[in-house]
Order: sequence, then structure tokens, then C-alpha cells
Amino acid sequence: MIRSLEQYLDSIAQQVWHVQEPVALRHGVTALQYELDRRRSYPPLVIHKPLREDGSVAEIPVVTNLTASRELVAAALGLSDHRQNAAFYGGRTGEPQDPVVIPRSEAPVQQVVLEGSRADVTGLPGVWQHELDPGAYLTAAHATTYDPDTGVDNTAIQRCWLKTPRRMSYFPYPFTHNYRNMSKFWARGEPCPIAFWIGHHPAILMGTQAKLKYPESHWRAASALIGEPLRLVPSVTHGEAVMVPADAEIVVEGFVPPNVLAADGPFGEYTGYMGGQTVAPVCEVTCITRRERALYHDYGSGLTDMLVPDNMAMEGKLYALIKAVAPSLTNVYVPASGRRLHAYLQFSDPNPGEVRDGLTAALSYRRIKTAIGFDQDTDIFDDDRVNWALATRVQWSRDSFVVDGLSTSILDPSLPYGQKTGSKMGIDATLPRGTGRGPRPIVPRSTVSTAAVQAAAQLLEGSDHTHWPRF
Amino acid sequence: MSDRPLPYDWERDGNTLWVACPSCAWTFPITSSMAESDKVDCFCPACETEFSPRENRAG
Repeated sequence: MIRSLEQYLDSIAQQVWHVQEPVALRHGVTALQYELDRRRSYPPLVIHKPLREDGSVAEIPVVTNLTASRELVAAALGLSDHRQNAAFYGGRTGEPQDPVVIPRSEAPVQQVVLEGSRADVTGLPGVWQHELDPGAYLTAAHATTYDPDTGVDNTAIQRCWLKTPRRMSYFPYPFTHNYRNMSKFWARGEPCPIAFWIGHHPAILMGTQAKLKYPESHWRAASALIGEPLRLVPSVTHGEAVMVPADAEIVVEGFVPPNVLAADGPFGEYTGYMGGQTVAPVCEVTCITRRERALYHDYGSGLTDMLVPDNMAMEGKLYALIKAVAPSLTNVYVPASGRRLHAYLQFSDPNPGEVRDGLTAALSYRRIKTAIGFDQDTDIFDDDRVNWALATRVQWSRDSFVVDGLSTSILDPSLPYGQKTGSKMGIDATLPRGTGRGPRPIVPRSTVSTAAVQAAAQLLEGSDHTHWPRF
Repeated sequence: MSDRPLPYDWERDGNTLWVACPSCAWTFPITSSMAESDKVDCFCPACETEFSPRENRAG
């Protein structure tokens, strides 16, 4: 089955907002996302007339908010319920499958090939998202490199500031696999070959975000997630050494020259704060390929649009990691309300110590700063129920623990200046276990009868509650 | 100094370094790697001036 962004948008046509009015690429596109987020409404957007600063309309439409809805992303993976994601994702990506390579003549993403002076990244409708950002960025560019020792691919979303027609800053965080690949090329005194692919079916976007060991192929993980071989094509500049998804929308190819560094940022980060201006490598662009009727994909940085898919990929990794030491684990949720720093774990009848085992495993995941364990009767996907359990089942001195000196997200703005490790907390919000020699201490819950709930629902169906307050 | 609001109040935030552009006074945050770099200058997003991060700390 050939999957593409256009085909996906057609398949969910009623849930997509096609914006026909001109929208400014500088702040206007992102402002729409903020306003939708404030209203708790998450349609994918297609901006048909992206407006440049000089007043001209960009040729290529912008797609954003594509993955802001957790329900839509789960459906794109073939799941009937987003709550099934952790076990599904963790299981599928743990059984890699080979992709398939198709000829360049059959690859939609190479229908248009622009090389040399015809390759101009400033011609792409890059979005200038936040007020303190220095300019337009590629925000959904999947930087693709390979390990020169093994040839194994790596692909990850990493931002690029569009500086001149054939030069962009490129920012791989120091702990990332692309950074390791790039450093190996630099250690040999060679430029790192690179390609950035943009825009695809959300299932492919999800598959390529799998959290893997190093080196391990993201193409194989993505093929496993979608249950069929991902279609790849050799890049124009690098051939089979750097493959790209054949059904992507746009590809930017180039090299990262050794030890050439430039200023990058400030940039609005996933934490919801501005990340400071930093030192980043640059990419010298050699070629742009794209579909004839390409769509440009933008991720709203720091918004649910970017948090949802990455958090769902984290859930899969955490599920596999924790399940290995705590078999009673039944589910994992990384809520967008906690950015990428909180993990809710659910257990069914855990053995003594097992919840803490699971919490400790979760805290070993670099980004997770707080891990909380819950019983089966707490809906971990509902923050109201999560707070209810925290308020009524936890004695802090008994049920929480702090571990210092663990690896952490250096983007956490609460981290003291210059500190590279963080302080993390595990909280056991499950009810105390029984001794095995008597009844378990279950707190009675206040309930109403099923019949009474059904009668209330029937009564509500007949009323107009359009204007009732929601908070 | 710019009259645009800052996302942080740097006077009360010990975790973030700020620089002020010597040309237009636009103030923005930088990372520790930028602060400690002796090879790369800051780039002012407001007026595109390049300047040393070490000599233009704000606050």
C-alpha cells in the first residue's frame, strides 16, 4: 500500500481545515495553532496561500497541526483507541522489517529535481514560528545520515534555520545519533552526507520517530510499525548511502562540512520556553527534490502538534523498557500536559516492589523527570483522575523517592546553569498492597448506579448545552 | 533597550544567560555553549549584527 500525505489528508477530509485566506508565514500560521489549542480543537490545517514577508504567495501549500490530535494519530496507525498505543508501538517496533528500494524514475519525491543554483531552500515556505525566533525554520525536516562504520541509517526531526538559498544551520543535539554520525565523519576530516525529508503519511512519521539503540535502522522500525516495507529511493547527491522515503513530499540534500559552526536560535522549544541561541553546524545544500504538487509540512514547535507524535513514540519505548522489569505493567501515557518530562504508568496486581522497579526504569529514560505509577481503576489518560489518585492514595514520605545525578533533558529550564544531570522523582500512587494473608485494603469509591447514570445521560441528550461553561 | 516583552525576567532567573545586541539593544537568551564559544559570534535576530557573547552580557 502506497502511503502519502495527500492520500492521508483525503482520507480524513472532513476533519481537515483548508484555509483559503492568505496566512502570514511569519507568526500567522503558528498563531492559528495557538488559537486552536486554546479552544481545544485540533484539526490538521492546509494553508493554501502562505504569505511571504514581501507579500507574495508561496507556491507550495503548508500543512501543519497534522499530528496535534492524539486520536487522529492513533487512527493513522490503524488503532481504534489511542489508549492502545504503548503496547502496539512497543511491540511492533521491536520486530524490525526490511524496507524496499524502488527506482528513482518511480519515486514521487523525485518528480522535480533542482540541483546547483536551482536549489534554493529560501523558496520553501519555511514558517517563522515564534516572536524571538531569528527567522524561518524547517521544523519537520527529518535529518538522515548514516554511521560510516556500519552504514546503518539514522533519521530524526532536527531543525534547520534557512539562512541563504544554499546554506542553513542544522542543529543535532549533542546526545543524538545524527550527532554521533556527523562527529565520526568530522573525525576523519570529511563532510557528513545528509538529506532532510519533509512530509509524509503520519504513520511513517510515527515509525521513523522510534527510539532505537545506536546504530539501528529507522527504516526497518518504520516498516515494522506500518506492517509492510517502507518505500525508499536513493538520494540524488549521495545515492544508496543516504536513502529517503520515496513517497515523501520534499527532500533537501547536502553536506555538513567539518567544524564549520554558526549561531542558531533562539528557538521556541518543546518545553514551551525559548531555547537560547546556540552554536550549530551548517548544511551546504546541493539539491532539492520534490513532488510536482508538493505539500510542505511544518510542526508547531512546543505545541501538541509536535508533542503528540514524539510522546506516543516514547510510550512505545517506555512500555518495552519497563515491561522487561515489571511484567504487571499494562499501559504507559506521556501526557502533552507534562511536555515530554512526565510518564504515567499503569499496573495490574503488581508484586511487592514491582511498581518501584517500573518507576526506576522509567526514570532511566533521559527525558523522563517524573514517573507516576497507578492502579487499573485510575484512567491515566484523564488528568482529573490522575490528580484524584495523587490526592487520595499518596503519602509522600512513604510513596515518593528522588534520584539525583541522572541524565536529563538539557532543555529543562529549571536545570541550574551548566548542570548536565537532573533530579528525578518516582511516585507510587497505587493503593498499598495486601500481605497476602487477608483482604486487600481497597478504599471504597463513591459511585452511583449504572441505571441512574443511563437516565442522566438520556436527560442530557435532550438539552441544549452549547453555552454552558466548560471550566 | 527593546520595548518588546521578554519571555523571562532575567533578573530573577539564574538559569538563563542573556546578551544585549550592542547595535540595537535587542536582548535574547543564549546557551552555555554559545556563551563559552570563542569561535562563533552571536547573531542579533532583530538587526543581524554579529557580536561577541562574552562582551555583551545583559544583566
